[in-house]
Order: sequence, then C-alpha cells, then structure tokens
Amino acid sequence: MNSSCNQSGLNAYTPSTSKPWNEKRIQHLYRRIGMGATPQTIKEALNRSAQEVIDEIVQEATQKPVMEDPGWGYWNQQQIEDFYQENYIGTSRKIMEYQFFDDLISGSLRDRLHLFWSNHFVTEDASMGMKKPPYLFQQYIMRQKYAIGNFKDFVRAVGLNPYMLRYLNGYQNKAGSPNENYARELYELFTLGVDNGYTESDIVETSRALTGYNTKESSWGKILFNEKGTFDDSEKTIFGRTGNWGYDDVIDILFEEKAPLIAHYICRKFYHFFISPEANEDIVAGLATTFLENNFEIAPVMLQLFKSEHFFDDASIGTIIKSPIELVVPFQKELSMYILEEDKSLAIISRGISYNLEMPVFTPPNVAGWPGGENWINSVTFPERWLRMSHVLVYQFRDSRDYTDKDDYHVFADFAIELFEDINTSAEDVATGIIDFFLTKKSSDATTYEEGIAVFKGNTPEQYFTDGTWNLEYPTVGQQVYNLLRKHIIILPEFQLI
Amino acid sequence: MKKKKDTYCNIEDHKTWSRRSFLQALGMAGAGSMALGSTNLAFANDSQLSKALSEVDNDRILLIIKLFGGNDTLNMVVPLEQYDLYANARPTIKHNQSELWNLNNSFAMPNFMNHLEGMWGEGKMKIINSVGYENSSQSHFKGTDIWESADTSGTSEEGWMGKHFENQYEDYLINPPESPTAIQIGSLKNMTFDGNEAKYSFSVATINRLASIASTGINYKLDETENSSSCQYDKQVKFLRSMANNTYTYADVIYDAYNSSTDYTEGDGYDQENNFSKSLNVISRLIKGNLGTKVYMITLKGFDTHSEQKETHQELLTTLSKEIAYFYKDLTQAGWGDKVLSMGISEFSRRVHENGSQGTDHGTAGAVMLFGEALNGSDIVGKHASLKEEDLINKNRDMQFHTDFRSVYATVLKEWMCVDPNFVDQSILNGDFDSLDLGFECDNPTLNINNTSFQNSSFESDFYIENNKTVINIKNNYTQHIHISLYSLSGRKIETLANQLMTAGRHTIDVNSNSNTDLVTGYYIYQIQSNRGNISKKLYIR
Repeated sequence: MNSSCNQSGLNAYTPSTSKPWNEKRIQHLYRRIGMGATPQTIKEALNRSAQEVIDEIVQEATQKPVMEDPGWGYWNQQQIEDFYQENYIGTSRKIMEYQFFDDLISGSLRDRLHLFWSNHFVTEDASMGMKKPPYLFQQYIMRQKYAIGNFKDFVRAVGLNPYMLRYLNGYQNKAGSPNENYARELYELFTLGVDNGYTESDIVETSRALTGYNTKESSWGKILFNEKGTFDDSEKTIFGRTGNWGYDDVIDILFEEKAPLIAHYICRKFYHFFISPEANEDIVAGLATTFLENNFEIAPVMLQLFKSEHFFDDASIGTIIKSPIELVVPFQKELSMYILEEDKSLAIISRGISYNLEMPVFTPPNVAGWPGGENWINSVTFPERWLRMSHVLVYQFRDSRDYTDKDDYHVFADFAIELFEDINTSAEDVATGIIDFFLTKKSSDATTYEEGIAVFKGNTPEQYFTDGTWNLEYPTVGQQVYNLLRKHIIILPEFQLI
Repeated sequence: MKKKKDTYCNIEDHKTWSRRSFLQALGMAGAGSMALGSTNLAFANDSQLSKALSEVDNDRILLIIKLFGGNDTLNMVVPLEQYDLYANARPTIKHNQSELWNLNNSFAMPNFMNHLEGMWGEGKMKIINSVGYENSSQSHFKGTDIWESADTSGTSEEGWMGKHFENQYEDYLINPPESPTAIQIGSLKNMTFDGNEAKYSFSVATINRLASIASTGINYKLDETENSSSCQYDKQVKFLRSMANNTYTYADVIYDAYNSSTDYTEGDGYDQENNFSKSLNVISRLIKGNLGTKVYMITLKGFDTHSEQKETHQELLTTLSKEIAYFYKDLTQAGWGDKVLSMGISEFSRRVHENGSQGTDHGTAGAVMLFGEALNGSDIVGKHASLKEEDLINKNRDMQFHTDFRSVYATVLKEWMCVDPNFVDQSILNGDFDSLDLGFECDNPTLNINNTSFQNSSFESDFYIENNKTVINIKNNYTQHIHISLYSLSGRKIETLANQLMTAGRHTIDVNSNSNTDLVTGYYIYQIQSNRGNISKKLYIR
C-alpha cells in the first residue's frame, strides 16, 4: 500500500479530464492558500487559469503592508499606563487578537503564513511576565514582514525581537552565566529539529555566543546589546568552527553549515501545514532544493508548491484536520457572513470560538506550538466543535433579526442563490450541492445525503417540491439552508477536514 | 416565519435507535446508558467477561501526576549527606539547612512542603531516588515522549498505558467499556494512553471542561458512520468517524458518578481557584462515585525554571504537597485511601549547578514520588546520585541515574495493576525490569479468565491474517447450522460469509474469498450464529 497515495510530482499542474480545474480544486486551493472562497470567487477563478490565480495570490502576499502602529506600538510601560489608565494590557491584547482574525479573514497567503509562523517561532502570551503590549505588536509586525520573505533574515530577526529575548531567556543570557534556553530551541524547534545536526556542546557554545542582549532602555522598552561587557568575549566552537562568535556569526554559521538540513526541516513543516500530515519525502526534497537555490526566499517555494500537480492531486484533498481557526474563519468567509451588532464582529466571534476550542491566539500550550492534526479531536473537543459552529450560525441569524429589516435568514438564502444561480434547482440537488460545497469530497456514506435532504426539506409539505410552489426564492429557503448547516453539515465527521 | 418547533427529532431518534438495536442484536452492550447486566453477559465475548471480572476483582486506581517542564527534584528532596556539595553548586537557589525538615537522617524536604509531614509520618509516602535512563534526553518533547512510551529511542508512537489497555480491551473500537479506561486532564498531546488502534483515554484540555461534563452530563447525538481506508483522506475520515462513535458514551457515566458522591469540605476545602486542586476535587468525586476508571492523569505545568527559580518552584511544590495531602484526607475519610496510588513524574530533573539567572537548565535523573496508604510505610527507595564532581556525567555535569524509570513502571503495572508480568516485560517495556519493593503487591494473581469462559458455549472464534487474506478460525463444539455475517463498524450488514451445516471441530473461513464486495482496509465486525447462541467479534482486513 502506498502510504501517500499521491503519485504526482512537483511539475506544474495542467488541467486534464482526470484532474479538471473545477469548483472542488478551486476550493481546495483557496482553503489551503487562504481561508476559503465564496461561490462568487470560485466562479471567477473558473474563468482564469490556476497559474494565473496563484501568481496573483502570491504577489499580493509579498506586497501586503504590515499592521500600522496602534499608537502604543513602541511606547514603554509608563507611557501606556498614563494613556490607558487601567486595563491597558487587556485592551491592547484584544486589539492585536482582533487584528489577527481580521487579517486572516482577508484570505491572504501572507496571513495564512503568519498563522504558520506563529506556531513555529512560538511565544506564549499568557506565560509569566510576557504580557507586554509593545512587544506583542513588534513581534506581530516582524512575523508579517517576514511571513513570505527571507527565512534566514527571519531567523536573524526573531532572536533579537524583545518578545523572544524575554520568552526564551536571551535577556538573562550573560557572559559567565549562560542560559541555554534560546540556543536549544533555535536548533531543536526553529531550524533543525530534535537531535538533528547539533550536539549538546553546540548548544552550550551557541548560548555563549548569543550573550550580550541584557540591557533594557526602560520597562517594556528596547532591549539593547550591552557594550560594557555582558557579552562572552572569548572563543566558541560551533559546528566545528572556532572563533569569537557573536549573534550574527551564529546565524551565518548555522546557515552556512546546515543549509540543507534547515531547508528540509522547514519544507517538511510547510508540507505538513499545506498538504498532509504524512510527508512525501521526495516532494519535501524538491521544495528544499528550491528553497536553497533561492537563498531561503519563501515565495518561490510557495509558488512551486501550490502550482504543482502534487498539490492538485485528488490524494492531497481533504487530508488535513482543521485547526479551530481553520474551522471557523473559512466557514464565515465562504458563507459571506457579516455581523452588525455592536459588541460582536466576525473577529470577536472567531476569537472567542478559537479560545473555546483550545486555540487561544498568541498562546500556544508550550514552545513547540499546537501539535495539531488528530490532537485537535477527542471525545470532548469533537462535540464542542459542533456546539461552537452552531453558535456561529446562531450569531448571524440573531444579528439579522435584530439589525436588519431583511429576512432573518437572508445570508443563507443569498448563499444558496449565489451557489446555484438557477432558482429552479430541485430541493434534492440544492441540499446535495450545499453538503458537497462544505465537504472536500463526496461522502462515501449515502445516508449523509439522505438525511441532509430530509433536514433541508423539513416540514415543508412534500408536494410544494413537485408542484412548482417551491424554488430558491421561496420564503423558507434561508431557514432551510440554516437548518441543513446547523443540524447536519457541521456535525458530519468529514466537515472537520480541509 | 419563526418556527420554533424542532421537526428533526424523528431522524435523530431513529439514529439512536438503529445503533442501539444493532448492538443488542449482536449481543453487545456498552453503548451509552445501556447497562452491562447479567443478561448481556451471557452473550458477551471473552474480553467483555475479562473486563467485567477485572472490574469486580480489582478496584485499584492509579493517579499519574505529570510535573511538566522538568522538576528540579534536587531542591525538593535534599540529600543531607551531600549537603555541602549541593550548597556549593547552588549558591543562590539552595535551601539552607534551617529551611528543611528531615524525612530521615539522609534526606530532607523544604519547609514549605511540610503539608506532607502527616503523610510521611503515617507511612503513606515513598520517594524513589535518581530515576532516569541511559543518555537522558534534555529536550522537553523527546524526554516526554520517552517517559510516555517507555521507549528510550523516543520513536514509539504508543504509550505504556495504551499498550496495556489495548491488550485488556481487545475490541475497544466496537465495544468500548462502560467507563472511560482512563481520564486525562490537560495537555492534549500526550501519548501515555495511545495504542495502535485507539486512544484509550477520555481527554479534557482543562479541568473546567471535565467539571462541566460531570455536573451537566451533556450528551451528544451521533452520526452514523461507515468504514473506509488507505489514503490520507480515508484515514482521516475513519479516524473522525470512530472518534464520533466513541464520543457520546461517557458523558452519562461521568455525570452519574459525580452526582452520587459529595465534596469533602473539612478544613479549607479544595481551592476552586486552583486548577490542580480543582482537578483532584473532581477526580475524588468520580472515584468515590464508583466511576470504575482505573487511571487518571493530571498535569502541573511550569517546572521549566531557567530563571528566578526559587519563588516559582516554591509555589508549585507548595501547591503539590498541600493538595495531595488534602486529597488523601478526603480519600481516607471515604474509605478509598488504600485503593488509590499516586505517582509524580517529570520528563527530566535539572542541572546540579545553577545557571547565571538564579535558575537551572535541563538535567537528567530525578526523584519519583509515590503517595497512598497501599505503600505500607514511608521510605526513600534506591540510591541517590553522587554530587561529587568526578561522579557527574557528560559535559553538563549531570547526575547519574540509579533506578531505571521502567522499573518503576514495571512495579506499578505488575504489582499494582496486576498486569501479566510476561506481557509487561515483552510487550510494554521490551525488557526485564525487576519490580522495586514499594510495599504493595498484586493480591489478585493474574486474571485467568480464559478457562472460566465458554465451556458451555457452542463455538469459539478468532481471526488471523495470512498472505494479506483475513481468515476466521472457528472451533465448533457441535454439529450445527452456522450463519456468519460481516458488518461495518457502524452496523451496516455487508455480507453473508457462510450459511451452512458445520460439523463439530475446527474450521476456517477465508473472508476475502467469501465476500462478493471489495473490502477496503480496516476493522469490521463478524457475527457467528446458531440456534444455540451467537458471538460477535472484530476482524481486520488488510
């Protein structure tokens, strides 16, 4: 048995009768490269080529500007306290968290990668002493800046970012009293992988070379290199090279000595994030070659990956269990949800649900990040997912009821009309089509459709479906779609997959 | 237009009905609120019987307390005979001798852990010195994997408890036991209970989640599923469907157990603001309410004390000692103190010498703590590592281990949980690890149910795989008409494999050849019927 079941390589995908450029492949692309697509976006993409669509998405990602300074982005503690008076930490953290969800729902690859990197160069915002709003902001724009930039530059920037200097104790790492925390994770988690190409001695020596960043301008202020001597000013041997190495030397030596290992490690992680939890090592090697040839620029790897036959192979579709963020944000986006209620927005709702489903943004469980995949699903989180997704629907319905004079369920009726165009599509085809829209593949279980149709028809008299009374403009359609989603689709096991 | 009426209950009722009636038709209990009554036992297969017996005969419970981050046990149990070496290595974070209370002449604990003085005096506490393994990993993640799998290469994907449960519940997937085999609070990624086929624990990320299930008993209706295989998508769908199938069984029993016991409130009561305390509170309620779960696991985080260790470590150990002492007061009062063994473990201990940030970096061997009346006397077990410079190992000058952690596991499995010693050595630990003398032994020699089982039964059966074909083995005790059917895991009938007069004696049925459908890889259920009775078992198609 072939473990990956995917025989396609990295050659550019060209549509064929067995692999047509159709709605399912377009959805697959948008759910992986971004956060899903509306029926309208899918129709537009059908009229263009895959290569053209992907080029545009990648180009947009590379050009997207970073978040603007909210005002306090570089303030110290005193300045923030003077301005906000109270609860300055809560207020500023919320600003950052909502920003993250607003960015994600834009669907940009830049922000999809931001999600990836936030689970790679991990920090925990809830851990002791970490709640420093300017550091959170500065880390945020650093991740945005390099998300689809140069990985080597990214690594260089991460270790000097004040958030990371505090989180992994670089700030406490001084000559004569080294603290190994950052050096270890730099190799073990950020660039090489556990026990992959480094020794305990490399860690000890590296931590000595990383010393010296131990001076703070002010509380929550810049962390500076201390010229007066907390730097370990003596020889160190790292990966067999001896010299009086400092911070930049560590990064240079790492990338000079270990480039292929780094490229493989990172490309395998890309593979897991974008393709499947089971890595195909040939594909990983191909991507790593591209990464190396382009001096660790991320964009060429993204172009190669997303344009490949491998990505568009049937065996790459529906292979990943959604993280809570991937569960809720694309659902909102694909249904064109909007919320007008004052204290609720899509970002507020999706942030809350991510918390409920054990993915509090900026606060992974430990320095290795969320383990993901099957770890998301257990006998408690599974029903919790059903419950929380039904809340997403309820919020939209309630908001429409309170804030618009349209039909309470109009968002769902509009979705159906956009999806099918022909208002005389039969009820059976509408229910089946909506189920298929939200699953990555046709369900192998016929009762999925039988029950879906029954739920969709609800208590509308059966003859209305045959005598021409019912069509997509019938007044109950919105509610029927809502019921189909809430009582059936979000509970389907396959709904957990992208 | 606002119709409140729920019109879909018929469909959901039907779903529930069809799964239950299917299980009843197969003579299987175990779904939701269906009781495993004596009538069902008559039709039960071996593993159900063994489970039932083990539930009756062995009411011992294990609580694993995972101290994540690497507990600095050198600052928890100070070796007095090496006090000067200890103090010199730790100029700023050491405990002064005046800050210690003596366990005996050789070892002492910091005064802030004096909540345990009572347990120590009453003989309910043991400490095993310098527990570890060769070439101890200094990575939190690999170290954790090793402790959870009992495999020092760190590459195994099955946990030590997972292997045990997989052996005990051989048809767990179709027929999960009435109560969760294990309950795990915190830390979603944890392979301790992972088996090859399934995850053998009921996991909640936070104690609040378990508390809410226990107090509300929320139960979710399920989707019918069917089986599939091989490529990643199919594997994921299969995983999700089996999780969905197993999801709904336990909310009810947890609710029932919780609500048939009461909070212990002597003194200050459990601290509801403290998650560790709250976890012990809920676990105590479930134990006292006779839930039947054999293993509980909770995590106390924050032991990765690279800097300013003193205050953090004191806070954690104070919580640990205070809450454990209270937990045992509660259990003893309710008559459970001798039934619950608690074991405190950590993925590694810390460096002998403090670092420059008033903290300690990752180290190697450390102490394992045990609590419970069953220990029959307090003691310090095993040799303590020497702190002399020349005895420290590797470049980091770490402590040499003296007791292999797998010996601790071996003792717990063989002597506390009464798991077959051969199975422990050969299949769980992959080596012979002698039991330590911890004051308890298995009082219920290996459950041997096979002999008691089906002497009156009309047939026995199992399956094997040969040349990628699945073959059912039948030992038929009478010449009788036999009907064999194959079902998907959700109870959909796929095939009649045999319908014939069968002579007394041994027979084999080749499933693949006798099936008209192309069977995809995965688990199925087969049922053998005659007018004398029927049995249902799981088989695997490759």
